[in-house]
Amino acid sequence: MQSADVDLDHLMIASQAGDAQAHHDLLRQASTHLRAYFRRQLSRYGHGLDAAEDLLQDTLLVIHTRRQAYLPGSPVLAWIYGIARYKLIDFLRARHRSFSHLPIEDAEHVAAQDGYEGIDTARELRKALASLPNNFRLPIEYVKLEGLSIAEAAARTGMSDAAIKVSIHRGMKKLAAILSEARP
Amino acid sequence: MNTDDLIDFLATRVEPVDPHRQDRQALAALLMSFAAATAAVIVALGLRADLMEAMVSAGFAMKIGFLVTLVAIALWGLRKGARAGAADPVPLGLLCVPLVLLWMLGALELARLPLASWRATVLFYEWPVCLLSIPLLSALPLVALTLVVREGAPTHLRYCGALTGLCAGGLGALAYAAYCLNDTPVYVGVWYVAGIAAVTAFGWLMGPRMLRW
Repeated sequence: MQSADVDLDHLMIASQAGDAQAHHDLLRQASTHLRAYFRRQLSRYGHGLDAAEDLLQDTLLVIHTRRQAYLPGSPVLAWIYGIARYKLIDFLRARHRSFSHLPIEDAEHVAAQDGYEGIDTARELRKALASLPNNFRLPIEYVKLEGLSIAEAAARTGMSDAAIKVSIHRGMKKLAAILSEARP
Repeated sequence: MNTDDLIDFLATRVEPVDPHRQDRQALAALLMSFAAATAAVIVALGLRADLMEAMVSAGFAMKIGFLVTLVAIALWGLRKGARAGAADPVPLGLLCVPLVLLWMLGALELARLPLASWRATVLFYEWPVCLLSIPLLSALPLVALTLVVREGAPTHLRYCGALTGLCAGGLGALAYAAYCLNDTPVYVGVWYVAGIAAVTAFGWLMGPRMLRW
Protein backbone atom coordinates (compact mmCIF):
# COMPACT_ATOMS: atom_id res chain seq x y z
CA MET A 1 0.00 0.00 0.00
CA GLN A 2 2.74 2.40 0.99
CA SER A 3 4.81 1.73 -2.14
CA ALA A 4 1.74 1.90 -4.39
CA ASP A 5 0.96 5.29 -2.95
CA VAL A 6 4.49 6.56 -3.50
CA ASP A 7 4.25 5.25 -7.04
CA LEU A 8 1.00 7.14 -7.57
CA ASP A 9 2.66 10.32 -6.29
CA HIS A 10 5.32 10.02 -8.99
CA LEU A 11 2.75 9.22 -11.65
CA MET A 12 0.62 12.19 -10.65
CA ILE A 13 3.51 14.62 -10.81
CA ALA A 14 4.64 13.23 -14.18
CA SER A 15 1.07 13.46 -15.42
CA GLN A 16 0.91 17.11 -14.39
CA ALA A 17 4.09 17.66 -16.37
CA GLY A 18 2.38 16.30 -19.49
CA ASP A 19 3.64 12.69 -19.52
CA ALA A 20 0.88 10.78 -21.34
CA GLN A 21 2.14 7.33 -20.33
CA ALA A 22 2.26 8.30 -16.66
CA HIS A 23 -1.21 9.75 -16.99
CA HIS A 24 -2.42 6.49 -18.49
CA ASP A 25 -0.84 4.44 -15.69
CA LEU A 26 -2.24 6.80 -13.07
CA LEU A 27 -5.78 6.45 -14.40
CA ARG A 28 -5.45 2.66 -14.63
CA GLN A 29 -4.21 2.34 -11.06
CA ALA A 30 -6.82 4.77 -9.84
CA SER A 31 -9.55 2.83 -11.64
CA THR A 32 -8.55 -0.38 -9.85
CA HIS A 33 -8.87 1.31 -6.46
CA LEU A 34 -12.03 3.17 -7.35
CA ARG A 35 -13.92 0.34 -8.99
CA ALA A 36 -13.63 -1.71 -5.81
CA TYR A 37 -14.56 1.30 -3.71
CA PHE A 38 -17.68 2.22 -5.72
CA ARG A 39 -18.87 -1.38 -5.99
CA ARG A 40 -18.53 -1.88 -2.27
CA GLN A 41 -20.26 1.39 -1.38
CA LEU A 42 -23.05 1.17 -3.96
CA SER A 43 -23.93 -2.42 -3.19
CA ARG A 44 -24.95 -1.21 0.27
CA TYR A 45 -27.63 0.95 -1.37
CA GLY A 46 -28.82 -1.61 -3.88
CA HIS A 47 -27.08 -0.19 -6.93
CA GLY A 48 -25.45 -2.46 -9.47
CA LEU A 49 -22.17 -2.66 -11.31
CA ASP A 50 -23.31 -0.25 -14.03
CA ALA A 51 -23.75 2.56 -11.54
CA ALA A 52 -20.31 1.80 -10.11
CA GLU A 53 -18.77 1.94 -13.58
CA ASP A 54 -20.53 5.26 -14.36
CA LEU A 55 -19.27 6.80 -11.14
CA LEU A 56 -15.80 5.44 -11.83
CA GLN A 57 -15.79 7.10 -15.26
CA ASP A 58 -17.10 10.35 -13.79
CA THR A 59 -14.30 10.30 -11.24
CA LEU A 60 -11.63 9.50 -13.83
CA LEU A 61 -12.82 12.46 -15.88
CA VAL A 62 -12.52 14.73 -12.86
CA ILE A 63 -9.03 13.42 -12.13
CA HIS A 64 -8.20 14.18 -15.75
CA THR A 65 -9.75 17.62 -16.12
CA ARG A 66 -8.78 18.85 -12.63
CA ARG A 67 -5.30 17.44 -12.46
CA GLN A 68 -3.84 20.91 -11.96
CA ALA A 69 -5.78 21.12 -8.68
CA TYR A 70 -3.67 18.40 -7.06
CA LEU A 71 -1.11 19.98 -4.75
CA PRO A 72 2.27 18.29 -5.35
CA GLY A 73 3.48 16.59 -2.21
CA SER A 74 0.07 15.82 -0.77
CA PRO A 75 -1.11 12.18 -0.77
CA VAL A 76 -2.55 11.29 -4.19
CA LEU A 77 -4.82 8.55 -2.92
CA ALA A 78 -6.45 10.91 -0.45
CA TRP A 79 -7.05 13.36 -3.30
CA ILE A 80 -8.51 10.67 -5.54
CA TYR A 81 -10.73 9.24 -2.81
CA GLY A 82 -11.82 12.76 -1.90
CA ILE A 83 -13.13 13.23 -5.44
CA ALA A 84 -14.66 9.74 -5.43
CA ARG A 85 -16.49 10.32 -2.15
CA TYR A 86 -17.78 13.65 -3.40
CA LYS A 87 -19.12 11.99 -6.55
CA LEU A 88 -20.60 9.13 -4.55
CA ILE A 89 -22.43 11.45 -2.16
CA ASP A 90 -23.73 13.47 -5.11
CA PHE A 91 -24.99 10.31 -6.71
CA LEU A 92 -26.68 8.99 -3.58
CA ARG A 93 -28.26 12.32 -2.73
CA ALA A 94 -29.70 12.66 -6.21
CA ARG A 95 -31.27 9.20 -6.01
CA HIS A 96 -32.21 8.86 -2.37
CA ARG A 97 -34.00 12.10 -1.55
CA SER A 98 -35.53 10.57 1.52
CA PHE A 99 -32.11 10.16 3.10
CA SER A 100 -31.87 12.87 5.71
CA HIS A 101 -28.25 11.97 6.23
CA LEU A 102 -25.78 9.55 4.76
CA PRO A 103 -23.71 7.15 6.82
CA ILE A 104 -20.58 8.39 5.14
CA GLU A 105 -18.03 10.42 6.99
CA ASP A 106 -17.89 14.02 5.85
CA ALA A 107 -21.33 13.74 4.30
CA GLU A 108 -22.33 16.95 6.00
CA HIS A 109 -19.78 18.82 3.93
CA VAL A 110 -21.73 18.15 0.78
CA ALA A 111 -25.17 19.60 1.24
CA ALA A 112 -28.27 18.37 -0.47
CA GLN A 113 -29.22 20.31 -3.55
CA ASP A 114 -32.93 20.51 -4.19
CA GLY A 115 -33.63 19.79 -7.82
CA TYR A 116 -30.02 18.98 -8.45
CA GLU A 117 -29.55 16.96 -11.62
CA GLY A 118 -26.64 14.56 -11.37
CA ILE A 119 -23.94 15.57 -13.80
CA ASP A 120 -23.23 12.59 -16.00
CA THR A 121 -19.80 13.27 -17.38
CA ALA A 122 -19.74 10.11 -19.44
CA ARG A 123 -22.87 11.41 -21.10
CA GLU A 124 -21.09 14.71 -21.69
CA LEU A 125 -18.40 12.78 -23.49
CA ARG A 126 -20.93 11.08 -25.73
CA LYS A 127 -22.58 14.46 -26.36
CA ALA A 128 -19.23 16.00 -27.28
CA LEU A 129 -18.56 13.13 -29.65
CA ALA A 130 -21.99 13.56 -31.25
CA SER A 131 -21.24 17.22 -31.89
CA LEU A 132 -18.24 16.40 -34.09
CA PRO A 133 -18.67 16.32 -37.87
CA ASN A 134 -19.02 12.82 -39.31
CA ASN A 135 -15.54 12.72 -40.84
CA PHE A 136 -14.08 13.01 -37.30
CA ARG A 137 -16.78 11.22 -35.35
CA LEU A 138 -17.10 8.03 -37.41
CA PRO A 139 -13.39 7.09 -37.43
CA ILE A 140 -13.27 7.59 -33.64
CA GLU A 141 -16.41 5.55 -33.09
CA TYR A 142 -15.28 2.73 -35.37
CA VAL A 143 -11.69 2.46 -34.17
CA LYS A 144 -11.76 3.66 -30.56
CA LEU A 145 -15.19 2.49 -29.46
CA GLU A 146 -16.04 -0.46 -31.68
CA GLY A 147 -12.46 -1.66 -31.93
CA LEU A 148 -12.26 -1.93 -35.72
CA SER A 149 -8.85 -1.80 -37.33
CA ILE A 150 -7.77 1.25 -39.32
CA ALA A 151 -8.23 -0.70 -42.56
CA GLU A 152 -11.74 -1.84 -41.63
CA ALA A 153 -12.73 1.69 -40.68
CA ALA A 154 -11.28 2.95 -43.94
CA ALA A 155 -13.30 0.40 -45.89
CA ARG A 156 -16.47 1.28 -44.04
CA THR A 157 -16.13 5.04 -44.47
CA GLY A 158 -14.55 5.03 -47.92
CA MET A 159 -11.64 7.09 -46.58
CA SER A 160 -7.97 6.22 -46.97
CA ASP A 161 -6.01 4.65 -44.08
CA ALA A 162 -3.98 7.82 -43.68
CA ALA A 163 -7.12 9.96 -43.63
CA ILE A 164 -8.59 7.75 -40.87
CA LYS A 165 -5.49 8.18 -38.72
CA VAL A 166 -5.44 11.93 -39.25
CA SER A 167 -9.17 12.17 -38.50
CA ILE A 168 -8.80 10.23 -35.27
CA HIS A 169 -5.85 12.31 -34.18
CA ARG A 170 -7.54 15.63 -34.94
CA GLY A 171 -10.92 14.46 -33.67
CA MET A 172 -9.41 13.46 -30.33
CA LYS A 173 -7.86 16.91 -30.02
CA LYS A 174 -11.23 18.53 -30.76
CA LEU A 175 -12.94 16.30 -28.20
CA ALA A 176 -10.37 17.14 -25.55
CA ALA A 177 -10.87 20.83 -26.31
CA ILE A 178 -14.67 20.53 -26.08
CA LEU A 179 -14.41 18.65 -22.80
CA SER A 180 -12.05 21.10 -21.18
CA GLU A 181 -14.37 23.97 -22.19
CA ALA A 182 -17.46 22.15 -20.98
CA ARG A 183 -15.95 21.86 -17.51
CA PRO A 184 -18.21 23.87 -15.22
CA MET B 1 -17.85 3.52 -23.69
CA ASN B 2 -16.02 1.10 -21.48
CA THR B 3 -13.61 2.36 -18.89
CA ASP B 4 -10.44 1.10 -20.57
CA ASP B 5 -11.37 3.00 -23.72
CA LEU B 6 -12.08 6.08 -21.68
CA ILE B 7 -8.63 5.85 -20.09
CA ASP B 8 -6.97 5.38 -23.49
CA PHE B 9 -8.94 8.33 -24.77
CA LEU B 10 -8.05 10.60 -21.86
CA ALA B 11 -4.37 9.73 -22.20
CA THR B 12 -4.21 10.57 -25.91
CA ARG B 13 -3.53 14.18 -25.25
CA VAL B 14 -2.02 15.15 -21.94
CA GLU B 15 -1.18 18.82 -21.77
CA PRO B 16 1.24 19.89 -19.05
CA VAL B 17 -0.62 21.70 -16.28
CA ASP B 18 0.69 24.11 -13.69
CA PRO B 19 -0.25 23.09 -10.14
CA HIS B 20 0.62 26.58 -8.93
CA ARG B 21 -1.71 28.34 -11.31
CA GLN B 22 -4.38 28.40 -8.63
CA ASP B 23 -2.09 30.24 -6.22
CA ARG B 24 -1.46 32.92 -8.81
CA GLN B 25 -5.14 33.15 -9.63
CA ALA B 26 -5.96 33.52 -5.94
CA LEU B 27 -3.39 36.29 -5.57
CA ALA B 28 -4.73 38.10 -8.65
CA ALA B 29 -8.33 37.74 -7.45
CA LEU B 30 -7.33 39.01 -4.02
CA LEU B 31 -5.41 42.05 -5.25
CA MET B 32 -7.88 43.08 -7.92
CA SER B 33 -10.99 42.71 -5.79
CA PHE B 34 -9.29 44.54 -2.92
CA ALA B 35 -8.29 47.36 -5.25
CA ALA B 36 -11.88 47.56 -6.51
CA ALA B 37 -13.27 47.59 -2.95
CA THR B 38 -10.84 50.35 -1.98
CA ALA B 39 -11.82 52.35 -5.05
CA ALA B 40 -15.46 51.93 -4.04
CA VAL B 41 -14.64 53.32 -0.57
CA ILE B 42 -12.84 56.33 -2.07
CA VAL B 43 -15.72 57.08 -4.45
CA ALA B 44 -18.65 56.38 -2.16
CA LEU B 45 -17.31 57.38 1.27
CA GLY B 46 -14.02 59.22 0.74
CA LEU B 47 -10.72 58.70 2.51
CA ARG B 48 -10.46 59.58 6.17
CA ALA B 49 -9.17 63.12 6.48
CA ASP B 50 -6.35 62.19 8.87
CA LEU B 51 -5.14 59.19 6.85
CA MET B 52 -1.49 60.34 6.82
CA GLU B 53 -1.26 60.77 10.59
CA ALA B 54 -3.35 57.66 11.19
CA MET B 55 -0.98 55.52 9.13
CA VAL B 56 1.73 55.92 11.75
CA SER B 57 -0.54 55.61 14.78
CA ALA B 58 -0.64 52.56 17.05
CA GLY B 59 -4.42 52.21 16.82
CA PHE B 60 -4.43 52.04 13.06
CA ALA B 61 -1.52 49.58 13.05
CA MET B 62 -3.44 47.40 15.54
CA LYS B 63 -6.54 47.47 13.36
CA ILE B 64 -4.71 46.68 10.13
CA GLY B 65 -2.60 44.01 11.84
CA PHE B 66 -5.71 42.31 13.20
CA LEU B 67 -7.44 42.31 9.81
CA VAL B 68 -4.36 41.15 7.92
CA THR B 69 -3.94 38.29 10.43
CA LEU B 70 -7.51 37.14 9.80
CA VAL B 71 -7.03 37.26 6.03
CA ALA B 72 -3.72 35.38 6.30
CA ILE B 73 -5.22 32.60 8.43
CA ALA B 74 -8.13 32.26 6.00
CA LEU B 75 -5.82 32.10 2.98
CA TRP B 76 -3.59 29.54 4.68
CA GLY B 77 -6.59 27.40 5.50
CA LEU B 78 -7.92 27.67 1.97
CA ARG B 79 -4.64 26.82 0.32
CA LYS B 80 -4.43 23.60 2.32
CA GLY B 81 -8.09 22.83 2.74
CA ALA B 82 -9.68 23.77 -0.58
CA ARG B 83 -8.64 20.51 -2.26
CA ALA B 84 -10.38 17.22 -2.76
CA GLY B 85 -9.79 14.93 0.17
CA ALA B 86 -8.04 17.49 2.37
CA ALA B 87 -8.70 17.03 6.03
CA ASP B 88 -9.62 20.26 7.83
CA PRO B 89 -5.94 21.02 8.20
CA VAL B 90 -5.96 24.39 9.87
CA PRO B 91 -7.10 24.47 13.45
CA LEU B 92 -9.70 27.20 13.33
CA GLY B 93 -9.13 27.75 17.02
CA LEU B 94 -6.13 29.70 15.76
CA LEU B 95 -8.59 32.46 14.91
CA CYS B 96 -9.20 32.92 18.60
CA VAL B 97 -5.66 34.26 19.08
CA PRO B 98 -6.08 37.60 17.25
CA LEU B 99 -9.68 37.84 18.43
CA VAL B 100 -8.90 37.33 22.11
CA LEU B 101 -5.93 39.71 21.91
CA LEU B 102 -8.16 42.35 20.39
CA TRP B 103 -10.88 41.86 22.97
CA MET B 104 -8.34 42.02 25.78
CA LEU B 105 -7.15 45.38 24.44
CA GLY B 106 -10.79 46.43 24.26
CA ALA B 107 -11.39 45.38 27.85
CA LEU B 108 -8.35 47.37 28.97
CA GLU B 109 -9.67 50.38 27.08
CA LEU B 110 -13.08 50.13 28.73
CA ALA B 111 -11.52 49.57 32.14
CA ARG B 112 -9.79 52.95 31.86
CA LEU B 113 -13.04 54.73 31.01
CA PRO B 114 -15.84 55.71 33.37
CA LEU B 115 -18.88 53.49 33.11
CA ALA B 116 -20.95 56.40 31.81
CA SER B 117 -18.93 56.68 28.60
CA TRP B 118 -18.95 52.95 27.72
CA ARG B 119 -22.12 53.28 25.77
CA ALA B 120 -20.76 56.10 23.63
CA THR B 121 -17.52 54.21 23.08
CA VAL B 122 -19.22 51.09 21.79
CA LEU B 123 -22.01 52.85 19.91
CA PHE B 124 -19.72 55.29 18.12
CA TYR B 125 -22.10 57.23 15.87
CA GLU B 126 -20.99 55.52 12.68
CA TRP B 127 -21.51 51.91 13.66
CA PRO B 128 -24.41 51.26 11.25
CA VAL B 129 -22.26 52.48 8.34
CA CYS B 130 -19.49 50.12 9.45
CA LEU B 131 -21.81 47.19 9.90
CA LEU B 132 -23.34 47.68 6.48
CA SER B 133 -20.22 48.69 4.54
CA ILE B 134 -18.04 45.72 5.43
CA PRO B 135 -20.40 43.07 3.99
CA LEU B 136 -21.10 45.24 0.93
CA LEU B 137 -17.41 45.80 0.28
CA SER B 138 -16.82 42.07 0.75
CA ALA B 139 -19.15 41.12 -2.08
CA LEU B 140 -16.63 41.49 -4.88
CA PRO B 141 -13.77 39.72 -3.05
CA LEU B 142 -16.23 36.96 -2.13
CA VAL B 143 -17.23 36.39 -5.75
CA ALA B 144 -13.64 36.54 -7.03
CA LEU B 145 -12.31 34.16 -4.37
CA THR B 146 -15.23 31.78 -4.75
CA LEU B 147 -14.46 31.35 -8.44
CA VAL B 148 -10.83 30.53 -7.68
CA VAL B 149 -11.60 28.20 -4.76
CA ARG B 150 -14.15 26.28 -6.80
CA GLU B 151 -11.54 25.64 -9.48
CA GLY B 152 -9.58 23.66 -6.95
CA ALA B 153 -12.40 21.09 -6.62
CA PRO B 154 -12.84 21.38 -2.85
CA THR B 155 -14.83 18.71 -1.05
CA HIS B 156 -15.32 20.38 2.34
CA LEU B 157 -17.74 22.98 1.11
CA ARG B 158 -18.86 24.53 4.38
CA TYR B 159 -15.35 24.78 5.78
CA CYS B 160 -14.09 26.34 2.54
CA GLY B 161 -17.16 28.58 2.24
CA ALA B 162 -16.60 29.95 5.74
CA LEU B 163 -12.90 30.59 5.09
CA THR B 164 -13.71 32.27 1.76
CA GLY B 165 -16.20 34.46 3.61
CA LEU B 166 -13.67 35.24 6.33
CA CYS B 167 -11.05 36.23 3.77
CA ALA B 168 -13.52 38.36 1.82
CA GLY B 169 -14.83 39.94 5.02
CA GLY B 170 -11.28 40.79 6.08
CA LEU B 171 -10.56 42.38 2.69
CA GLY B 172 -13.81 44.35 2.85
CA ALA B 173 -12.89 45.58 6.34
CA LEU B 174 -9.38 46.55 5.18
CA ALA B 175 -10.89 48.62 2.37
CA TYR B 176 -13.36 50.19 4.82
CA ALA B 177 -10.45 51.11 7.09
CA ALA B 178 -9.35 53.67 4.49
CA TYR B 179 -12.47 55.65 5.43
CA CYS B 180 -13.24 54.72 9.03
CA LEU B 181 -12.03 57.18 11.69
CA ASN B 182 -12.38 54.90 14.68
CA ASP B 183 -9.29 52.84 15.51
CA THR B 184 -10.19 51.83 19.05
CA PRO B 185 -10.03 48.12 19.94
CA VAL B 186 -13.56 48.26 21.37
CA TYR B 187 -15.03 49.55 18.16
CA VAL B 188 -13.01 47.20 15.94
CA GLY B 189 -13.70 44.30 18.30
CA VAL B 190 -17.45 44.83 18.11
CA TRP B 191 -18.42 46.27 14.72
CA TYR B 192 -15.61 45.13 12.44
CA VAL B 193 -15.80 41.68 13.96
CA ALA B 194 -19.58 41.66 13.54
CA GLY B 195 -19.35 42.64 9.86
CA ILE B 196 -16.67 40.03 9.14
CA ALA B 197 -18.55 37.39 11.12
CA ALA B 198 -21.65 38.06 9.02
CA VAL B 199 -19.72 37.46 5.79
CA THR B 200 -18.11 34.34 7.29
CA ALA B 201 -21.49 32.97 8.33
CA PHE B 202 -22.83 33.70 4.86
CA GLY B 203 -19.95 31.71 3.38
CA TRP B 204 -20.58 28.83 5.76
CA LEU B 205 -24.27 28.78 4.85
CA MET B 206 -23.78 29.18 1.12
CA GLY B 207 -20.60 27.13 0.75
CA PRO B 208 -22.38 23.99 -0.46
CA ARG B 209 -24.11 26.03 -3.16
CA MET B 210 -21.46 28.49 -4.25
CA LEU B 211 -18.53 26.08 -4.21
CA ARG B 212 -20.03 22.98 -5.73
CA TRP B 213 -18.47 21.80 -8.98
